[in-house]
Amino acid sequence: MGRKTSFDHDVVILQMSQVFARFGYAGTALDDIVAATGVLRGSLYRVFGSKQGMFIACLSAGLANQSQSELTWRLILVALLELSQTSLAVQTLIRGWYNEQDATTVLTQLGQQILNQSGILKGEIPDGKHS
Amino acid sequence: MENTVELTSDQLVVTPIGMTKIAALKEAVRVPKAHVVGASIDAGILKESKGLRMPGTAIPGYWAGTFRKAGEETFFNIKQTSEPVVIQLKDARYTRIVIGVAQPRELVDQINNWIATRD
Repeated sequence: MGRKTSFDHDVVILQMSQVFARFGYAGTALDDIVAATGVLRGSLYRVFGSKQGMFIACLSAGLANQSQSELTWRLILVALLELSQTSLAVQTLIRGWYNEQDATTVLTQLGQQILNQSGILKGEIPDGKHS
Repeated sequence: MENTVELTSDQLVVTPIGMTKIAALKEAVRVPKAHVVGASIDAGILKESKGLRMPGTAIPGYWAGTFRKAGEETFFNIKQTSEPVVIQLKDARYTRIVIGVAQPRELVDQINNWIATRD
């Protein structure tokens, strides 16, 4: 069906990050990741091991940057809301990052992210489409 | 529920139960902890081609046994109505295991946390 077995790691990380940021963790199906990346399901499993492994690869790549992009802040929100309570690996990763941040800056950024995603700041009319 | 899964200190053990034990032609699949890479819920995997069955059972809506596709062997033991748990392996006979269990989401978390404490 034209799906790839080999791929550019950085491109696929970006594509997967966009999917997780858009649908959240539980809301992302492997089918969504296969469709967004064009990579064979088996190849994704071979490289990342699991959906959680895919998310951790995305979050790690984002956190590795000196300053966090809008996309990375969304992934941080997803990690905090959906994964850090149940996943030991995600909790370890996000705690390690948090301990090196200024707590007030993190609070402000997370609050701003929630408001940005809510659509209320721009008075947007919900159209049923994900941004 | 087609299988039970036990996580010991060093092994993952998948045991087909009831009638599925006969269909899957396996008493149990045992994998050393070091060879387990991760677990996922993946509803879409049952819609993909599973490859050639060798050996195993063909019953509509039920996949049991070893399937070979693109040089990989996957152990399936799952009904179409179950939420699939996909366990990815490395350096093992099977590339992955696709099974139905009683509490799939809990099992996925358990496996991923179990391997996170490997080191």
